[in-house]
Amino acid sequence: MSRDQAALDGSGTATGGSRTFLDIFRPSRQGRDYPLWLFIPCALALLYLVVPPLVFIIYTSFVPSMDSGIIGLTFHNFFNIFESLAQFETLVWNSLVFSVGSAFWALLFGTVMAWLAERTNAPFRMVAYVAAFVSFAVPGLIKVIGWILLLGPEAGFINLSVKWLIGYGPIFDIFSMSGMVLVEGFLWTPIVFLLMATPFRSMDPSLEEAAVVAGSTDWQVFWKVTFPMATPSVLSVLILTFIRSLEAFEIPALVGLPAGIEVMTTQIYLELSEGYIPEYGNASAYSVLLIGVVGLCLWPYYRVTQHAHRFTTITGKGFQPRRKDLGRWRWLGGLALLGLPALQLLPLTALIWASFMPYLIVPSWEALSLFTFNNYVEAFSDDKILRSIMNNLTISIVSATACVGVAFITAWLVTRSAIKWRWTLDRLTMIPLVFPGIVMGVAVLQTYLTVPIPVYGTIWIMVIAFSARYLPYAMRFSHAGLIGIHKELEESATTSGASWGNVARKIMIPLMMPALFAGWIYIFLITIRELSVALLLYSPGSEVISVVIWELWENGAVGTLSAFALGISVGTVLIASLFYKLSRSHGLDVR
Amino acid sequence: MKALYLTVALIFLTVSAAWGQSDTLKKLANYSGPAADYEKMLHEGAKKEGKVVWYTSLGGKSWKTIKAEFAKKYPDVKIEVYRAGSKDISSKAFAEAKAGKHLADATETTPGIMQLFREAKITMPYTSPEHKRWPDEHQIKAKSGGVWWVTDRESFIGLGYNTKKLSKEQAPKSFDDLLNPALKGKIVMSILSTGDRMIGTMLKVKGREYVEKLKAQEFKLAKISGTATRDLIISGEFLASPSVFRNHALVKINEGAPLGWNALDEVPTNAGGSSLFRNAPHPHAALLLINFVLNEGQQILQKFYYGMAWKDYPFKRVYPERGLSASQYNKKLKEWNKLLRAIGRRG
Repeated sequence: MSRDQAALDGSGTATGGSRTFLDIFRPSRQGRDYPLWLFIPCALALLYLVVPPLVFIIYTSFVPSMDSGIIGLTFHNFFNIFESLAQFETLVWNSLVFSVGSAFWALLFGTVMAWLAERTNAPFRMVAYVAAFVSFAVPGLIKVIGWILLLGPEAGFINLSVKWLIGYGPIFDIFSMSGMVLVEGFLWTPIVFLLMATPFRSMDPSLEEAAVVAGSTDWQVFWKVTFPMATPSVLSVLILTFIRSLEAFEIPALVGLPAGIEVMTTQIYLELSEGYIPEYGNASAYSVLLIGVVGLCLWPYYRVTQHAHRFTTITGKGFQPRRKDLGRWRWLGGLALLGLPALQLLPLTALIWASFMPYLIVPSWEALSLFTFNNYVEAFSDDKILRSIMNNLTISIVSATACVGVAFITAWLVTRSAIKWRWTLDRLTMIPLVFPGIVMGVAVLQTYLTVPIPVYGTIWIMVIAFSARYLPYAMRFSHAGLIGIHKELEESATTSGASWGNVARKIMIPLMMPALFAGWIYIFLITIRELSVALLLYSPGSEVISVVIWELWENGAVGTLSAFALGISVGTVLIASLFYKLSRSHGLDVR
Repeated sequence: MKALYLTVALIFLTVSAAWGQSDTLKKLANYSGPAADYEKMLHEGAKKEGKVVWYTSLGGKSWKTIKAEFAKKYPDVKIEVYRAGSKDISSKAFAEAKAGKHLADATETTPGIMQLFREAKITMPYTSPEHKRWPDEHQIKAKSGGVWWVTDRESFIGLGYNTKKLSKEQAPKSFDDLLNPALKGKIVMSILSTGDRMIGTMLKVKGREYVEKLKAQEFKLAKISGTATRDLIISGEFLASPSVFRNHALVKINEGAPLGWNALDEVPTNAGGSSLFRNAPHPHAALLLINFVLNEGQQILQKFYYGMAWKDYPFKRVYPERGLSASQYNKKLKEWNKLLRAIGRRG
C-alpha cells in the first residue's frame, strides 16, 4: 500500500480498491501525506466565506421590489436597468472613462517615478520609497477629503492661492471627471511605483548594453529594449489599476456625485437610498452586472500574468542594473521623485489647517484669529470615535489572521498536496476578486439578513466580509512565499519521520514567515482603510474608523473629521513602522 | 396588487414584531399613574438596563447636546446614538426588523419614516405625562390609545447663501430666482431626503416644467446633511443651496458666519417627533430618553433655533408627506429623488 493510500486509510475514509465519493480527494502517486481532514475544513471554510454572498447577490437580483406588484422571482430588476438604456450607457461610459483615465494616469506617474528611482541617478529615491510605503497606512478617504479641500473650485486652497497670485481662477475644478481621474490616479501612483520598481530593478542590463554597443540612442534603447521587457508588468499593473478603479467608491461618491457623474458603484449605493425602504433587488442587479464586468476584466489579467515567464527579467546571473546618468537633469529627476511624498503630504496639510478651525474656512490672517484646539478635544473625547478605533483594531487583527491562516493552509494544499480536487480550493479563494467592495457589502448584508446566524449588528459581520474580500490577496502572498521554498526540505523532513504538523511548524511557517507577515500587514492596513463594505454593514456600536470619517463628512463636521483623520494617519503610520521594525529585528524582510 | 404585496410584507413585520414585544414594554407604554412617579420609575429601571440606543436624524450639535445633557442627568444610563439621515435610519431599522435583531430603543426623526414605522409596526404607541403639554393637533394618536409621537420640533428647509458672495438683494427669494443665470453651477443641493422634499415642494408649487428647467442651472449634488451643506456655503465653495435648514443657518449666523437664509415660495417642513421601538431592548431607558427629549430636550432644541409647531412664522409651511399613506409617500420620495438626480446629472 502506498504512503498516500495509508494516509487516507488512516483517516478512515478510503479503503482498498472500491471507489467512494471521497476518492475524488485521493492523492496521486506523486503526492505526500496530507490528512484529508485538513482539506475538508479548509474547503468548508472557503465555501462558507465565498459561496453564500455570491448566491445571495444573484438570488436577490431576481427578487422584485415591494412596489413592483410582482410575486416570485423575475428579471424585472434587469429590465428596469435596461429600460432606461441611455442612463445605463452613461453609467457604463462614466465608469470606463474614470477607470481607464485613472489607470493610465497612475501608470504614467508611477512608472516614470519607478524608472527615475531604479534606473537613473536621480536623488531622493529613498524618500520616494518611504512615501510609497507610508501611503498604504493613510486611509484613501482621508486623502480624498484633503484633495477636495485643496482643489474645490471656489474655496480650494490651491485654487484660491493661484487666483490670488495670478488673478485668474479657478484653474482646476475637482468636481469633474478630470478631477475624479486626477485624484484616483494620485491614490494609485505610490502602488504603481512600488509594482513597477521591481521589474526595473531586476532587468538584465546586458540586453540594453548590447543595444548601446550596436549604436542605439537612449530613446531607441528605452523604446526597443527596456519598454518591451517591462511590457508584462506594465500590462498587469494597468489592468489591475483599471479594475480597482472600476470598483472604487470613495472618489465617485465624494467627487463624482457633486459633478453629476454617476458610476456603477455609486449607482448601487444610491439605489439603496432612493426611498425609505431600501431596494435590494435593483442594487443587486447592478451588482451582478458589475461582477460580470470585473470578471471579464480579470480574464485578460490572468492571461497576461500567466505568460509573464516569457519576459523573465530575473535570471540566475548576478548583475547590477545600469543606472543612467541624467547629468544636469539629475536634480530635476530628484524633484520629480519628491512628487511622491508631496502627493501624500499635500492633502494632509489641508486637513491640518481645517483641524484648527471652528468651521471650514479658507486660510487667511483673519482666519488665524479663530485658531482652536476644540476639534481635537471633541474628536478624542467622543466615545463613538474611540470605540471605532477599538472596533477597527479587533476587526483588522482577526480578519488579517483568519485570511493569512486559511490562505497558508490552502496554498500549501494547492501547491504541495496531490489531492485531486485541490484546484477547487484555489478557484474558491479567487472568487472574491470579482466582488467590488460595495457589492461585497450588499451581498454579505443580504446573506446575514436572511440566514439565522446572529452576526448582523456586531463587528463579526465585518470580520466575515473582510476575510472573504481579502482572501485572494492573502492567497497570493502565501502562494508567492511557498513557491520560493523547494519541496526537498519537506521531503527530507518527511523521510526523516516528521509528521505534517512538524513540517509545518518547524520548516514551512518559519521559512514563509516574511511572506505571511507581509500579507498580514497588508490586510491589516487595508481593512483599516476599507469604507464601502463597512458602510453597509455597520450598526450602532460596531462603527469603524472609515465609517466615522464618512459620517463626520456627511454631517459637515470637517474640523472634527480633520483632527480625527490626522490622529488616525499618525497612528497607522506608527503601527506600520512598528511592524516593519519588528519584522526587521526578527530577521524578516517583508518588502 | 402592489398594495397587497406591501401589505403582506408589513403584516409579516407586524407579526414578527408582536412576538418579540416584552410585557414590561407594554406595561410601561400604557402608564397611567401619577406624573411625579413616572420619571423615578423609569430611571430605576433604566439603571438596571444600563443603556439606551437612540436613532436620530437631528442635525448640527443639537443631538450631541441632548446626548451630553442626558448623560449628565443620568450618568448611570449609557446613551448610544446612531445619527444619520432619515433614509439611513429607515434602512437600518427595516434591516434590523427583518433580521430580528432589535438594537434600537427610541428614535427622534421626521414624520415620513415614523409613518412607515407605524404601518410596519416597528414602533408602538405610548403614553407619557408629558403629552398633556402638547396641543391635540400635534399628537399623532393611536386608535387603541396612547400616541405614536408628538411633534416635538419643526425644521424648515429654505435657501442658505454666502453673504460675502451674494448680497441680500441678489440672493434668491423665490423658486423663480433660482433660475437666475448668474447662479449657474454655483448651487449645491443635498440628495438626502431634505433635497427630495424640496423638489417635491417645487413640483407642487411650480410644476414639472419648472423643475426640469433647473437642469440648465447645473446644480451640484452631494450626499451630505443639511449641516454639511450649510458649511459648504459658509466656506464659499458654493454660493447658495435650497436645502439648508433655518435652524442650522441661524446657529452660524449668530456666530457671525457669512451666511444668510431665505424662505422660498413655500417651506418644506420636517415636523419631527419621538417614537418608541416596539422591541426596544431597554424599555425603561427608551421612555426615559423620550421623556427627556419632550422635557429638557425642548429647551435644548429651542436653543438650536428649531421651530415649534404651534408658533407662527413669516413663511408658508408645507408638509409633503401629509395626506399620503406611508407607501405612497415612499413612492413619491423615490420619484423626487430620481428627478433631483436627473437635474444634477451631467451628460
